[in-house]
Amino acid sequence: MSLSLPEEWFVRDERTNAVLAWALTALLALAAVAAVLTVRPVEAALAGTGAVLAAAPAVLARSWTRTMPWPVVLLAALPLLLDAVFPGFLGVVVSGVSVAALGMLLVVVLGMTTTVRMTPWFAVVFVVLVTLAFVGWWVLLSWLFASLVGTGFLETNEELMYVFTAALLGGVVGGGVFWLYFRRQLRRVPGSREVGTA
Amino acid sequence: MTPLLTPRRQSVLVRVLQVLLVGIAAVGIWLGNPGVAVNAGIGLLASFLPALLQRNWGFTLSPGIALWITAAVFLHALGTLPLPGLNLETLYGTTWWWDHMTHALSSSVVAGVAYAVARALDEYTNAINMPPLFMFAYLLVFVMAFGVVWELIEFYISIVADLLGGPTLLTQYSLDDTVLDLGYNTLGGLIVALFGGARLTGVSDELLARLEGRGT
Repeated sequence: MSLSLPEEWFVRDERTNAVLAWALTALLALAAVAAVLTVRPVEAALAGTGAVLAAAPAVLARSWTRTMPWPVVLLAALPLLLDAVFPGFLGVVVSGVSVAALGMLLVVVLGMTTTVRMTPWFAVVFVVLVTLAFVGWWVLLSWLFASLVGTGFLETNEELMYVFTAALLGGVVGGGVFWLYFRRQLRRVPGSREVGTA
Repeated sequence: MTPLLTPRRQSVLVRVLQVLLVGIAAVGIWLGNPGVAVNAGIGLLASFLPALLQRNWGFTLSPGIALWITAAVFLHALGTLPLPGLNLETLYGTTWWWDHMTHALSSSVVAGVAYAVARALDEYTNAINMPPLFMFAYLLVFVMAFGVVWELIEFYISIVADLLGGPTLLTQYSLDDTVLDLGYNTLGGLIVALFGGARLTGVSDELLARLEGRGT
């Protein structure tokens, strides 16, 4: 059985959801501006991407009520909004979950704007991969930046491995949450929008 | 392609490298160096993967791809071996670019597997569609993610080895070294993402045939 990830699993058309989602989107945009002003490029990129992705369905459909489910937007925004609340290891785990949520928003928006299609399980795998790759690139770029400009970076290999471990946990938790959500959706609408060849 | 490396010669070269891997493993045992023996042994097993696929599932990988995999594991194993010409130091220890080369090479194999699988899925079902630009991004994501997981495996194997008082099989040298590994992994992935497509269609067609044979 093959089924492309249906847009309706993510895009809602309800007033309450839209209000909450837009509020979170505005917070993300504010967080992005604040991060730009305080020269935190990673936070700025994440918050900016989150705001753009969260706003995309409504803009594309030209209807302000067509938005992502607010809990997913919240998941993506959580570590950026509560930066100080989760320090250290837990913070990176939460960031991992958040990057996974951003990855899923990206998959949904790609499905709406391009010919990219994924099955639900492929989307889950992809989102976990994105989380791991994100932390890898983040480390690579901060390391380059640190050696060029002399800013601070992690001190030891152990610290780096804890960051990677936390990101892996976050990615797996995020992917797992989506997996459970997809299974529930599949049970609710068996065989809906059947596509594919098999 | 120059006719220098004909498929026939590629197959012969694979055999030669496999014999050399047996030799490296033997030297590792003789030196009482489990790191050398285990790395060469596992590499040898990996180099038989193409033959195993062929025998058990009739899944043919071209000699060139078999050579690619075997060369990657051989150069890694060779790097762990103390060499007389280097005052019994290893190539990993003495040659600054050895680690970078093996990382780029082995991650290009990883990217190759990722490409073949993704392209076969793409062809197999309409529910998955990966246009070229997305495929490019996906390969880079896959290679980087795999690199992070690989570094974690290295780290936790050495922790477990420490706890059990066992020998070090894989070495993480330093923070800078780990980060550079990730950089050279990306390079290997980039090479496959840019130039690998045409060489790997055979593998993914073969995979696709499997999927279609099993489906319906």
